[in-house]
Amino acid sequence: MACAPGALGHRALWAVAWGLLLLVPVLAGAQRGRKKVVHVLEGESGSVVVQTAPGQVVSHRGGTIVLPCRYHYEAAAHGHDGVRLKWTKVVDPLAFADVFVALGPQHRAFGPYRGRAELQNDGPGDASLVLRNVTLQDYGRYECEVTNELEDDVGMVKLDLEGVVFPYHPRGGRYKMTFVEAQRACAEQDGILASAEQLHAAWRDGLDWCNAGWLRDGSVQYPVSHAREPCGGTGSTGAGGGTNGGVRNYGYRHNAEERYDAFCFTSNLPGRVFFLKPLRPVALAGAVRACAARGATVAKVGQLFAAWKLQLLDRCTAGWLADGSARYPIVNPRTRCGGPRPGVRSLGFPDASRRLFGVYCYRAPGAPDPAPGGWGWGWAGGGGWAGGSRDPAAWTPLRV
Amino acid sequence: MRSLLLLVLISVCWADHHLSDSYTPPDQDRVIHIQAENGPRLLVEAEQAKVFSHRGGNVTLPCKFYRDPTAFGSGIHKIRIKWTKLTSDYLREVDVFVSMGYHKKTYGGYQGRVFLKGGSDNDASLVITDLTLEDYGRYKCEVIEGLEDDTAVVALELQGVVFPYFPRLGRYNLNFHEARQACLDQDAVIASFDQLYDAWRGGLDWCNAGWLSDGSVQYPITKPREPCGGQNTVPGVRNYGFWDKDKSRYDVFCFTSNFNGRFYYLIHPTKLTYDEAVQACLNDGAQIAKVGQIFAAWKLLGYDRCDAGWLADGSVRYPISRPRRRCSPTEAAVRFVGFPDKKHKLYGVYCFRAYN
Repeated sequence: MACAPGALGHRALWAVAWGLLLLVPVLAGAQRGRKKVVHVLEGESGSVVVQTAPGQVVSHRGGTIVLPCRYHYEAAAHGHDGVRLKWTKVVDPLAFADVFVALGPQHRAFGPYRGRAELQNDGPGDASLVLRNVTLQDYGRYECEVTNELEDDVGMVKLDLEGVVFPYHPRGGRYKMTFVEAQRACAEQDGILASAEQLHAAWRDGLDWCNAGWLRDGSVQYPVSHAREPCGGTGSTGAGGGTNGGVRNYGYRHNAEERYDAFCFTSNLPGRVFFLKPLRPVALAGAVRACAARGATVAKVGQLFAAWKLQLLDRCTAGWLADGSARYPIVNPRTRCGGPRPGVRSLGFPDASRRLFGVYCYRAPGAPDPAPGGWGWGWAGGGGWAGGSRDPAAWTPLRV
Repeated sequence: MRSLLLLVLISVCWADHHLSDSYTPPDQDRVIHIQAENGPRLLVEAEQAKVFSHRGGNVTLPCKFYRDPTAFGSGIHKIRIKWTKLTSDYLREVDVFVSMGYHKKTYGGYQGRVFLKGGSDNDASLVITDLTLEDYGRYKCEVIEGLEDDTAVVALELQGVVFPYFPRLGRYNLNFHEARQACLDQDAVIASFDQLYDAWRGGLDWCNAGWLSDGSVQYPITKPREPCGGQNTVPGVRNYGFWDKDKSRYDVFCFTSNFNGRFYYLIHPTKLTYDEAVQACLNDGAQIAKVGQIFAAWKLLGYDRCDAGWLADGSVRYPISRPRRRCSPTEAAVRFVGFPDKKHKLYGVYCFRAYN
């Protein structure tokens, strides 16, 4: 779209004038910032001070969050360009992704932040960013950089997500995934590789898991709450620490060559997970049809974990999941229901052709539910398995 | 037969033609297409990702920027160039230098030592003079023009030597802050992981864990054995991970580089106690040498002397570049005798005289 040069110039002039008008109340209201003591070789500008209290905000997938950032600066001798605001995401220690930039009336959001990021514009000195429709990938650290002529300052805000970390390996078996395969496996289960901090928080919440898994930063670790011989060892391990648990770290591995499990992270579930108990147990293919008949899909592992953790889904009946595993979620531990602790119990990957279980379904918000009585699937009464299969609680579950 | 010969000749000619085609040199001009709407309109590049120098030397950190002159707004805004240094944990940046039009500012310890190379209108390269050990690390060049900006990172590496260190207090007696100070006291700085890794690749084999600049605790193993890295394991830098900087105690890995002076063994008629050694160096217009200085002399100047001598920290060492019988027969190293009784044990002394 081409603009006439005259019109462009006119708009630019108008923008500058408006910028100057906006600057007046800023000058009047600006507090005197902390002056850096530096030797200035030429020229003089006021220093810029950026504040990002509280430094960390929490949201969830699908949510809206404000990344706080405020700045103040002394009056500048030359300020016709106005103050420049730049938000970036710290992808890893030496890599950044552009999020949003503004200079006077001009602004731009980048890549996946387009249409989702805008300035809060809450009065002079506000550089806070409103982020809508938060995704799993948005988790991490953000930098707010404010530049005024020679002066600038940077603040850091961490965006944390409410969610759940779950250990994962697909049907292929344990320790079979490269880093890239682990990334894909998590994505296929409605999750993303967990960060070291997310795993650490999960460990503090009691996650106790004896198999090493990939993390988002390319390291391989596993969380141990109860140290025991094959899991973090017993007795003194020398200078490395005593008998306490911890997050064992294999360090950074050769991403393309070595194979481990994965630690995945998922967050808020927009829809609902429910258990569909057929009159008779079904094979995996039958489970898919059963969910479809209810306007739903077979739930992914991440969806079951999110339902368990965030929606407190509690059901003492094993059901198929999309990856072909059979699991059941326990929020309130009780006799014959998977042991003394809450968790999502796994029965592994049974033969998909065997009629063994009901199914956990996921229905996205807004999806219609066909007639409940259709297809003959319905909620059976409180009775046990019609087919006489053993109570899954009696089996030895793998500990989550 | 003659027609067959002709056919063969034609085939050879065709093959030759084909071969010559495949050897056409690639186009020397590289065209960079910048998308008008979505692509970056300001590109910042460092021609080299890594530059090398040494303490006391000078270095140019390369950085150039390229603008799309046809883009909207190009030329309206002033170009702003900002150099910062990344801290070892990459969580913070230290201001180094900033320039915008005719305005310039230099920060902290860089004042009087840095300036823009200014080779051309799009040159943002920074010259740093009189390098110090603390200058080692990664630098970020950021160029801003209006809404547009881009950055490049350059790593400055120093020629030098990594040495494991603990003071008279004994092994595993330094918290992180004490470890940093211990290195500074010996004309060195606490080493980074990259510096330790390079030293390990250069053969450093050391069986005690030491602090590094990022707060981790590690030790390098080139010859795995039972108490050191474990029997039947592979060589590597063993990582204890990150520990409480106040409560945990380890040794430390220090790094030092070229010095500006002369390191020598003092020829003295008799062996000396520690205090006598200090005085003897002073009498010679010098000072008793620091541990970092003996390592630098040994590693960078090939200094070799089979006489044990006092050093400033009260240790007694001798540098061997040429292993021989009765003088570190199996390896080149700075041999460590220990921390003898300062009042009663007698040794020679290593001195250092600074050039000024």
